[in-house]
Amino acid sequence: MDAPAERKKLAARDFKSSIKPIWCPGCGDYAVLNALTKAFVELGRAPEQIAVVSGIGCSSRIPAYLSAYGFHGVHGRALPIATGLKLARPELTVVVTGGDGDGFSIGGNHFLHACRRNVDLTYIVMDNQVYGMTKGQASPTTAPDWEGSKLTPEGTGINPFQPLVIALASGANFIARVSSSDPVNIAQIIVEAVRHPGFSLVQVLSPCITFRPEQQEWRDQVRTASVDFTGDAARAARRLMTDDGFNVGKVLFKGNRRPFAPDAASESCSVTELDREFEV
Amino acid sequence: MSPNKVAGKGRPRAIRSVPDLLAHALAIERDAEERYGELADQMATHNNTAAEDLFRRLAQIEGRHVTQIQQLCVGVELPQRAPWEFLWQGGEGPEAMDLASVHYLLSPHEAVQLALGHEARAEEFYRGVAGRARPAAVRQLALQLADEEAEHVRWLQDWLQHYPPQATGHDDPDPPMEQG
Amino acid sequence: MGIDDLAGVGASSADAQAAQAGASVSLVIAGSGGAGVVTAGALLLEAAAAAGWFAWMTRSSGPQIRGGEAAAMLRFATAPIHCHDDCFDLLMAIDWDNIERFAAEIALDSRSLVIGDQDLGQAHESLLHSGPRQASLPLKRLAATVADGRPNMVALGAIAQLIGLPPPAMRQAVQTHLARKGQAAIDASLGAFQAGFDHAADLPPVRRLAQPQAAPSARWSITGNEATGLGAIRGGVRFVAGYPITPATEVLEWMAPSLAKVGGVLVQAEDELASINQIIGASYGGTPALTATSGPGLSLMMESLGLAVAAEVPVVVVNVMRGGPSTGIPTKSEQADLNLAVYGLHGDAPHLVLAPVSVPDCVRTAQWAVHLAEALQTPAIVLTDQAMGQSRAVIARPEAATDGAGRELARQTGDGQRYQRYAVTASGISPMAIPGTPGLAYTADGLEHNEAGTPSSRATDHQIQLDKRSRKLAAFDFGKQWAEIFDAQAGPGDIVIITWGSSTGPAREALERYSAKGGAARLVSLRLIAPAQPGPMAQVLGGARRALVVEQSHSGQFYRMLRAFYDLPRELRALHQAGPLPIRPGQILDQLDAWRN
Repeated sequence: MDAPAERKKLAARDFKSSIKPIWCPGCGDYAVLNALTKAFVELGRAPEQIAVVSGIGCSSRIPAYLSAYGFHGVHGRALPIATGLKLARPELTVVVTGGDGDGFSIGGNHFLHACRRNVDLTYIVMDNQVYGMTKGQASPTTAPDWEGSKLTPEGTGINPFQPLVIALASGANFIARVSSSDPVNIAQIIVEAVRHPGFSLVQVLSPCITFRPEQQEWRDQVRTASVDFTGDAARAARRLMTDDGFNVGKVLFKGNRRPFAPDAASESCSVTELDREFEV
Repeated sequence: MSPNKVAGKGRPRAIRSVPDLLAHALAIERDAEERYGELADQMATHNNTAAEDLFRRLAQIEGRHVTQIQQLCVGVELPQRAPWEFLWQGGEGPEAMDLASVHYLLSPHEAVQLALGHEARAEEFYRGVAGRARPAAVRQLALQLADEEAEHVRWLQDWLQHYPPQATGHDDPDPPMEQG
Repeated sequence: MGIDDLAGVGASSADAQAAQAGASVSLVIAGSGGAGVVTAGALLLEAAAAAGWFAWMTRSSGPQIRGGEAAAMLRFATAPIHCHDDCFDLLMAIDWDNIERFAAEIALDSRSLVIGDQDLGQAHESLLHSGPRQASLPLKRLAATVADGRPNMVALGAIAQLIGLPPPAMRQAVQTHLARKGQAAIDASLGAFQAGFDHAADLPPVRRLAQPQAAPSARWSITGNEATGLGAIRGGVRFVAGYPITPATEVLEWMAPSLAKVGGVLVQAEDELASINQIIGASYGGTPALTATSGPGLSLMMESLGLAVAAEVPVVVVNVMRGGPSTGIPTKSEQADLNLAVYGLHGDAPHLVLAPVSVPDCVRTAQWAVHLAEALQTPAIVLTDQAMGQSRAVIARPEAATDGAGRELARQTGDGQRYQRYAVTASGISPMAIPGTPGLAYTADGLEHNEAGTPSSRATDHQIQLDKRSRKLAAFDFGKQWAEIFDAQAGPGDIVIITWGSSTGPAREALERYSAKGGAARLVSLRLIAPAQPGPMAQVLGGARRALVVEQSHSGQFYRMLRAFYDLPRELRALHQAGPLPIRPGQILDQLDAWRN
């Protein structure tokens, strides 16, 4: 998919639209936006060959900020929209973006099945462990003892959702975690994720400066993962068992499952030939 | 990234040629111009005109630096690099303008400090290159670039005088609004 | 034929009348626990089709997956038929187990003949209160006279003799059906069939079918669900995502291999929410897309249908209605999802709702729905129901049809201006860019937006986009297809029947009988439910003083919708009842008769 050496290379700014983001200054999502533009440059695809699909939430606003084709769908349903689009138009590069609430709460079922189905998509989840757009409720990845929401003033008290674990168990073909404090690294991982066939999950630790200001500490808590990726799901599972959520910067797992794709469309008959089975 | 992170592969290797150094310099200045431009846009969206104006000026200045570096690049074939193939991979270098340390109520003082940090790290980077580089031409150019960055640092320190620290800090009486 | 002429006639006259060749013959085969009722019905239909008749077959069953009680209801005629008659001429009970479950559906009268196996017991009293004739046929004993003979084949033999079905047609059907089970199986079935055929000569007569035309026109055997799938493919659908639900699953099951043959794709999604969103994604990518579901699934899809309206993405959702509300009666028919289809989207979200008027019309209307959705860039809900979807009919071959241009695509202007995806136009339809086209990238959005597609909360933008999305439907010329109009031979008269969907069949037959008695009336069956067509309706209604609204809904959903959107004649009556029992032609005829003066 890379551009031939002779073609004029687009710059990262060519992948930004004229719409300026409304995210709070200090939001981790700015790093992801920049990373995406850098990644698109390296992938060598023209903006019209890329589609970015999102759900609802602050991070889901990303499609409008890019010059690629975009779909800002309804809450939790970005993955099926992207699935339908990719299956109908397999030659497009389809990237899905969204947050932890959109992806793992209302979208949880679709997330699970997208990992299973392994369509060639790249899913970038900007995880800030909160619902920002609706003013700060707990999300599925929020720690059970976070008391900062009026809706759950004593904390949720329930186990957080573990996206990498669920992804691995459900069959995702590429799993990585990155930090918004290193946008260049995010770009590199996104390039790898897009290039790797099948369903790729990139979890981005992306602090919410307004509702979780304490997450600015993540900058100092994250560390580059000590080992490179494995192709062995069992080994990846063992690493996740001791993962504290702050190992970033490298790919955890690259599987070799065949991506789901319908058999190459070979028209074996015309529409009128379908009539024959009904003829008396 | 914190200093105590485990070093990944991609420890800085020496810059061995003038074109390579120019490629790095161009990347630094271009990124700086874009980041200041983005920060100006963010401040504009959030109605912080003072910080917006400051970032716009900084973007313009960086734009001039870009032009200067581009003039040095005339006739030079620059190596093509992916962003993560530059020497500062891992965020310890100048690229790491800390977008996370901004705030919609950023004062001009804080904006200048942000820029100051960036320029200081750029100077440090070039001095480091000069110290490690073997070819004399590379050392010479690196020192030249370092000196220019040092001058930017002095300008910004001057600016700091014009923008005293803000008393109110990041205090907004209005609560956040829900949007969806 | 004048059924009411026979009211109150005694037994021997009933025999005599029954022996007359009629325009149609109706019969039920019932049995349980592996009796092979469904197979018998299918064979009978195949044989009748081969013999040149038109047919209509429905099935009823108990809740068991296997071994439950089952009934196959069939009707044969020499001209196309679209519903069951008021009564069945013959009930053939292979056994009597739990047959009372079907008593309400098996309408009988004094001329009907109930045949059962005396060795297995007596007819249940619920079947006998209308005083049908009874006879016994020793199905089990006769089956035992043939090696591996089965009672259901004996029953078929008897039926063939009684109604006048030529044996060669049945032999051909058996041979085709059992070819893979080997000659022994074929011989056993044909032997049992012959035993029944011979023995039936001693049975009382039933109505016999007139011989079909010498050279019958081309005919098809097809269900409504298959017809819907075919129509959709003819309309250009090449992507389907779906989740199984009774009674819509066969739409998906038929389309899976058929789509593959024509280069399309079908995906089994994890739920209805995934189904509707997958087809939105595929359609956004430029491929006409469809899903099929029933009431509970359509309810789940409402939010995303609104997304398709707001982002102006065409999709087709086939809703095969079943008994509601909630889980309701999954295996039975009802016309009670109208409110959901028309009003179920939040906000003001104009969209298309269509309803085929018959099984053959499923082909045409599904195709038309795809065309309209594409041309108007909006979702189209196609309402069929269990009675139409799962009934198998032998019909005249549907004609091919073409519709106008589909989706209007955007072209690059080259003037450097940003592409306005939702540009205001006179028609309300904005040219649509397809991903992959350079220079026209845009973000589709459920948020309200300006003409460029950028989210906007401004009053002017909301007004402009609401007007546009409403105008594109209101200004569209739907042509004559919006309704199917039937006039009685005697002329329109001053009574009009207004109906839709499966109620059209019985209404049509009631009209024919009414006309045969000299009555004059007109029938309007709406194919386009939304947007409403008050202008064309006014033209059709012109001169009518009375309107009878017919529908299978407990609350009269269609009646209320008509009153909301249309000017109706002053004298208005509604015949509306819940499922699961179908509305009979006689019920409608009674209403017309009562109103004649």
